[in-house]
Amino acid sequence: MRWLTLIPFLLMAFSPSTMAQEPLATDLSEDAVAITSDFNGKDLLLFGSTGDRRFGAESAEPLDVVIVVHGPEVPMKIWRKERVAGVWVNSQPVTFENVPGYYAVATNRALSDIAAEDYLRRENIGADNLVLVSVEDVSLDEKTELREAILGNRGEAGLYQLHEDAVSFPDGRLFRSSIHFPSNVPVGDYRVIVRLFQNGMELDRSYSVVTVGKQGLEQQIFSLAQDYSFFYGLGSVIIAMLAGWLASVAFRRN
Amino acid sequence: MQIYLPIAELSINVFLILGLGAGVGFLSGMFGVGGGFLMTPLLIFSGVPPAVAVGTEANQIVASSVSGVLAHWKRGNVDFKMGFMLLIGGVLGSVFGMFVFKYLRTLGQVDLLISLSYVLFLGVVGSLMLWESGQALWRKKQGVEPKRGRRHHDLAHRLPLKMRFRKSRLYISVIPVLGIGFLVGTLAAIMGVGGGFIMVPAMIYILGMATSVVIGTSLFQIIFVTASVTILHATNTQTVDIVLALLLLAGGVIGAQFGARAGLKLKGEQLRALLALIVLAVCVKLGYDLVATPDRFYTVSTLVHL
Repeated sequence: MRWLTLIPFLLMAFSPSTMAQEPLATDLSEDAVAITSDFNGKDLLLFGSTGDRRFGAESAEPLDVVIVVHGPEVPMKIWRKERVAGVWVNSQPVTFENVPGYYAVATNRALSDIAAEDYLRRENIGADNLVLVSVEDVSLDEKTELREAILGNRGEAGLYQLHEDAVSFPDGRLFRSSIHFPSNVPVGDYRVIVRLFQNGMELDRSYSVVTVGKQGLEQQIFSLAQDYSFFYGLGSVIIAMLAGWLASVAFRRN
Repeated sequence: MQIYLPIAELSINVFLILGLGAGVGFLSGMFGVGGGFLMTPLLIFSGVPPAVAVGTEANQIVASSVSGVLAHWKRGNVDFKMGFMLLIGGVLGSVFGMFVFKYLRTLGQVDLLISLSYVLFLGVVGSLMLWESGQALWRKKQGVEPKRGRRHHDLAHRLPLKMRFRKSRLYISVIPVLGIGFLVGTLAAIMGVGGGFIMVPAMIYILGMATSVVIGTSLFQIIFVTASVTILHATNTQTVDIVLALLLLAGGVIGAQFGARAGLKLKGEQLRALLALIVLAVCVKLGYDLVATPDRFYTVSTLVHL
């Protein structure tokens, strides 16, 4: 029944605009992603209305939408591989404190066409503009290299995404996009920030939160393993012993 | 059909895991080995984090050893006194192995430790087995009577603290018994193996145990050592994935039944030669990965698993 929440937007879109500045309004198809035993990634739909501003109006400059989904921040360690006596081993690690576990950007056209480089950097829009702080002191060159490696690694894991043609406008005031959460998505609260641009200027923005969490049996097993680790271990051993005994009974040949 | 593993934190194909369990179970039924030395590397190749592979595989070996030991127990082929002394050493060894594992994990070197241990032990055991079975096959072809090799277990007789093991028909020092148990326990914690492939030759060649009780006694002590490793990993690294373990053992139980039947069709030395080749293949693959130039020059970890 979540689509019912769209009705106000639809009404807004078709009724004649009376207010001077109707704000940007957005909503998500769901505000939580549940990781259950059959979880294999999930797509959420994001809907929005630009208020009284129109995409297709011939008189005005075109409107642009930038959606940023910022996952929970986690510390991350990175090692450079070095060859020691012919074997590749990890060297001294460098720790970064605040690496988002997930970071996705969706726009209607190339980010560089929407806003100036300065503005994107100041507002930390785009993976290249994330501020990553290392715990250890490293040279600027090394830091740039490590940064590239982290972004590359997260990108390959499907956790950093950039979709520059992923926002569509079914109507002059309505837009929609989808947010993809892969199966290896970390748990936590995700900030969703939608910005509306025109002529390189940010006009409006909206915030929402999506919670990603394990649910049901997945959650119970995980929290048991974390909070009662000894009993979890003992339980695992007992289950294994019973399973082994059952197997020998089931396949006993007379 | 995908299933999400709660501890490994990844979604994996159920049939891949059942198939791995069945395949390794088949080989373990055929050769009478635990199969941990194959399963742990295969899990790592399928994308399971190494620490989770080790902790989970220890848990699965508990199950396969229990079902293995029951048959030997019924035939009276378990020397409980010897098994008990071995497992004292084994449990102490597993605590030591866990300590080493945890320390290297903080240094980010645990993957290297696992790989190096595998290359070293699989290389040595595989080569020895291939040599021994190759000679046996060659002798048979030539029609030469196999020589009863002199057993090198003088050490076990010369050391102090002697104890009588009636079932094994031995009166030997407990020091090498505890020592072997300790070594195998350490390897179990680091490599996620039962250690039968080291324990069995050590029992025959170093301790000089009667061959009839070797496998049953080895399985008996493996149950407790891998149980100890499972609990240690669960409490220290939280890397025991019970869902993964249950899937593996479901496949493993079925595979082992077919493997045991297939094994009856082959001769002992043929089986040993075949097993030696499989052991060496895993060793070569892991060794190659250590020295080959990697695709990525960086290792990135979220500190959750490594």
